Amino acid sequence: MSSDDLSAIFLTLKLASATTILLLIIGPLIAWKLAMNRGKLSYLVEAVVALPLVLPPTVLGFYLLLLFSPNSGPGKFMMAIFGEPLVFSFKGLLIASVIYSLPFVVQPLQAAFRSLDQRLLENMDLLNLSVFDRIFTIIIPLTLPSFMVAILLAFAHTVGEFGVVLMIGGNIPDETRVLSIALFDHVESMNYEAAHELAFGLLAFSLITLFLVYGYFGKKSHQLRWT
Amino acid sequence: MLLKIDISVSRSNWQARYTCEISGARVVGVIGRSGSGKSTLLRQLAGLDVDGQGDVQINSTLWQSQTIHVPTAHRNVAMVQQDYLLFPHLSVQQNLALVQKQSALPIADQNQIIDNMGIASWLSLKPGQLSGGQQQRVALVSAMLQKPRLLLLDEPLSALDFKTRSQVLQQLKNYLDQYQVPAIYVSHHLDEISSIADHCLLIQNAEIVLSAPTHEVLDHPKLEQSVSAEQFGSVLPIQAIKFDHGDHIMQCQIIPLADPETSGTIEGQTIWAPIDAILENSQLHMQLPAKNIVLAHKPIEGSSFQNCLSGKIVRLVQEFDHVLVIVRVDGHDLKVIVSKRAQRQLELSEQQLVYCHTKSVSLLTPAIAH
Repeated sequence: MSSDDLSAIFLTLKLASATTILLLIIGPLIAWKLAMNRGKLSYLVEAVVALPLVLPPTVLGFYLLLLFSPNSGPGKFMMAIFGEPLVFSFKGLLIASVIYSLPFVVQPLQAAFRSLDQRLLENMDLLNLSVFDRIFTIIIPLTLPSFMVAILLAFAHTVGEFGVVLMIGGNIPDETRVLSIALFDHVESMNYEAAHELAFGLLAFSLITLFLVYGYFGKKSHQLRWT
Repeated sequence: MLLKIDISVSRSNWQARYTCEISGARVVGVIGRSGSGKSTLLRQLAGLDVDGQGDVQINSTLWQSQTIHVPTAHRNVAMVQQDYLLFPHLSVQQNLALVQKQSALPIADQNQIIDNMGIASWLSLKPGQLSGGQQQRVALVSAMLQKPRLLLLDEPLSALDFKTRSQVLQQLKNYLDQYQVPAIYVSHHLDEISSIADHCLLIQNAEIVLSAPTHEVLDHPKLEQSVSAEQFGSVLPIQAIKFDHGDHIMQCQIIPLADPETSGTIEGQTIWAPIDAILENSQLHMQLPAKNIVLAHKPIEGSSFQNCLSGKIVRLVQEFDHVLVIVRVDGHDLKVIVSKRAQRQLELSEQQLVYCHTKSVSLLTPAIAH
């Protein structure tokens, strides 16, 4: 395997890890709000969060490209915050990945939170539990399998993204040249052997991840037993 | 405690209105049929439901008014429900630890409660490894450790077997006495209510129809609609005269009520009751379940009946499958349930002299002087 490919693998893992960590902070908050409030606004938020599931990634990429462009108002604002343009940068890619993989974290968690026994939540009030105890002693342990599913899906989905990266990331080694882009390059240059290495690796990784999601954690999250 | 409640709850096709003012009572029993709105009242008091309109005041604290709704977490109430809720992924010890770390009770007292309630050997188990009754005991301990401002008990012993129930009830009574924790106790079992509550609310059709000392409520005609015939009975005021240390039984005398028909003082009849020696010379209330009284034309001899009271039938009420006979004993109306067949064979009629035999009499919680 070439050093270019290795650095693409490393960059992909870095992007997927950073995305997953950010999503673990944002996702549960959105999922909790959506699970607890059933107002009209929450349906809108739910729809927006779910958009990446149905939109071609290029649509999302196209709008993010416009948004991140240093010529746009929001782009200028973000450039002031991040100190560099977000297009064709790792940071831009990270923000895009977070949006792109958001439903994969929010949806399983939302379902898990909603299935929590209402009376257990009332019990937390009756016992006047601290916020820390509520989150880390009760809610997360009770929904742990769903958290595992969310982590695996977010990570795997980020590893597999292509369209969004192509639109706003380009193909800069060590910055935005992730696995799927490297694979595309190999195919374009008819280097099928290198393409096979990457493609088979991605296939195996995705299969194992999904196997874990459906087989192990998925089963656990549906039939919670603590005996 | 002083408890003022004036709440109305309106739901799509159901309305409730709870109004009462209780002062001085320590444990308030709540009696009512299933679905009469007992649990709703408790949830309103806990602040778990926010759809109630009106006022709730406990002692000098306002929990709810037109402008205030103190959230559950800030009311410091504990609640034990029929379906005993423990966190399923935590061991008994971890469940209790959540309460213990903010408990106002000294550690020694906490451990004492855990020991007294007999749950110490389950600490390392998860709730799923315990039986329903065991989980309910743990939930009760959790509530006790909280030392709440108000303990809300909704059928807290429903999953316990008969023997454990009376032990746990005794422990609960001791706890409420020792720590002066006021409680509201919902139960279908009148014997539980009568042994723990000094005040009672009777709820019918989502309304408090009676709020009075327990002995008055348990003897009230309105009660018959709310409790099963097995439990329905009469309450007699008695004077504990002398404790027989050999037989461990108290000789008591009915405190007679002046009867307009037989003017002049009458001596109350004797009742033998299994009550504590320390209650000698005190005035108490006894409950006599209507179904456990046997009527006869003459005193029955050579039987194990310990109590035989003579009285005159004042009224016969024909019910669907039984007859309610009201017998006037020392001026009090004693309710007796007999089958229609028995009434026919005994040829029971009003003004007839009969003898009421019973084994089972139970003591009501003495009302607290206030």
